Amino acid sequence: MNAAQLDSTFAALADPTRRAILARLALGETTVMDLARPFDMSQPAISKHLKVLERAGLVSRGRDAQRRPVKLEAEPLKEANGWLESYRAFWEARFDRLDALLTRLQSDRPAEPPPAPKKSRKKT
Amino acid sequence: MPKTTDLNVTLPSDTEIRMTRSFNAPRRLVWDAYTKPELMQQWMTGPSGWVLKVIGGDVRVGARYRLEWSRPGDGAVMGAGGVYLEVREPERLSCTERFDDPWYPGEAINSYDLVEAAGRTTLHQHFRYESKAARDMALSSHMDEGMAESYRRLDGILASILAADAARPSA
Repeated sequence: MNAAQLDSTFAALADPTRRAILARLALGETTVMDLARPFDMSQPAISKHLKVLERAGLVSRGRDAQRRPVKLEAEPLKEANGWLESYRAFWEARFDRLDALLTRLQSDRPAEPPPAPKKSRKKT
Repeated sequence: MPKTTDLNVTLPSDTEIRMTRSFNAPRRLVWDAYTKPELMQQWMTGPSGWVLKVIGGDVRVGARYRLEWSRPGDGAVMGAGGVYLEVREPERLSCTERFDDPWYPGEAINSYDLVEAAGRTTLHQHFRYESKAARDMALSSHMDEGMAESYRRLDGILASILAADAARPSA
């Protein structure tokens, strides 16, 4: 995947409505009308989002002239996810080591003693 | 001890990377882990087989720091370093970063904000590059190292979209 393509994938995914559209399409292809229904949005508004997704190569439209069903194209999504996910995994591994270090530091060097309980204990 | 919150990575603009992560520790300790060479060496390590040496410890505006990852045996060395731009112990640190053998063009500006609440610290880590190309190179540079890990860690909306798509019988 080239940088421009990846860029358009990230831009397309930046919008919550478009992510919701993709999540819906993961269940199967559908028409624009059916797609618009749960979103409380006009068909033109949904069509606009679909154009962004289509340009990013994340969805495609069927040939059927009347229905033009919308279909998820998972491949660019997999690549974009791989790139950012790898970066995240690199830092997560680093931060896991930092976690372990912080735990060690706190057990080596106990902080202030815990505050004394406010209520005095019952005298026996 | 409860698991700390997951790392959140976002791309707020074409030239930035932002990360947020919480730790079960007061921020003074997180600050130390980011600024004391003997502590930095323990977690900013590179790929396995590489050893990290940190030169620094003088944490004030204008002072330099340097990190050197080397591979004993073949003498391979990768170095990076920079200058501290802002030092407000223990809440904000900002520095430049440049690699000797640059895998991204130019210099990055890294800043770290530490917010403490109830003995926990939330770290906001922010990297700004000179260009979008540099940012993208930095992002893709950990592809290999991160890959093995990443398969175990797929989560969030993208993963669920992909899972649902995979489970669906193809038309």
